[in-house]
Amino acid sequence: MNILTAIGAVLFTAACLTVGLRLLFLARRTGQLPELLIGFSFLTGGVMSYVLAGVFAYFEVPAVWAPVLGTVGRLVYIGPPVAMAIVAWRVFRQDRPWAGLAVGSLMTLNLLYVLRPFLIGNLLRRELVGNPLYWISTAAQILPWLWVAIESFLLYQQLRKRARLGLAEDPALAYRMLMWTIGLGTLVLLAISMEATSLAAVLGLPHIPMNPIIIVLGLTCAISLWLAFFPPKAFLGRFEQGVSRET
Amino acid sequence: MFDSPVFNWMSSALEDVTPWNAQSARGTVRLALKKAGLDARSVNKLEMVVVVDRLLERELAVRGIEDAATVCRDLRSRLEAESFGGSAPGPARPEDVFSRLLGTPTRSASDRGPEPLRR
Repeated sequence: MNILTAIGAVLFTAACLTVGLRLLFLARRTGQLPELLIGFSFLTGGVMSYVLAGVFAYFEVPAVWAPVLGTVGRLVYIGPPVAMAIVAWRVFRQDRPWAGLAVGSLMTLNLLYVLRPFLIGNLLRRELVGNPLYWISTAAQILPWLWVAIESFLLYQQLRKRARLGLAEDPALAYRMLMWTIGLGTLVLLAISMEATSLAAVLGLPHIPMNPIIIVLGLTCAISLWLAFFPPKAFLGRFEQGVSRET
Repeated sequence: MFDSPVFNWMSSALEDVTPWNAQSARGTVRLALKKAGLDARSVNKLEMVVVVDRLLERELAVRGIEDAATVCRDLRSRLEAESFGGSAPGPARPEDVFSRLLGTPTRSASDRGPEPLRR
């Protein structure tokens, strides 16, 4: 089980690294904001935050530096959700004032995460989960990813309808959007599972085994993102045949 | 963001040839566009032609418009004859952004049009 868990975690990290780098290289070429923000989110959220957490856990940080490094780490940690909130707004809802307000609110709540130790002190995990501020800031970190996943799913549905009418420029784009949505959805589920596991432990509820969850969600995420960004020709051909059958 | 000129034109034309008011006509066109996965704010002429051909007739028939087929043929020919001019490029649509991100071929908004119809 441990080897499988490690494989799931490595594949998940590799998928985030590959997608992040690919989009950042694309952003360098195009100068466009969406690829920059999504690339940054995958690279930071899926890879860098784990690397930094590992480094902090491995090396002893002098007490005098702890608050500074902690704040820097927290700023890095809120980067991806803030970036994804901006993506949701600027890509999917740029003409909707409510979306701008939602992004402003999410940014404020994420800032609360950075300030949390100064507001409520450095609490132990079991004390922290009893504090509403913990759940507010945790929700603010997960919601932007969920928002983009929902918008991507709605776009997938639109593209599929167009493909049925022969209006699609690229019929396979609909299915690649579906793979992208599944990839994002598994990221959200993984984050929710981790929070649920911590909460169950603190509340003394039956232990939720994380290993099978990491294996299933990690593999699903890696495969979905790979099929979205690097689909084999045979896979694309099947999709196009599927669209032809539907029309 | 405002509705596209094509949407406004079609709604107005539908209002002229049916006993409906503007709200009903716009609502019906909007519903047909939704079923096609299109948006009233960005639909272009070629996409609207496909909607008229494939979806509008049924929408009119279920709302009690007699001889919906003739109405649609008339709307289609008027739509094809109409010129909407070159509109300024609007903001990138989400599908254009994801075409770029996922690396699929894409065309600009001005030359975007339907593929040959498959029935």
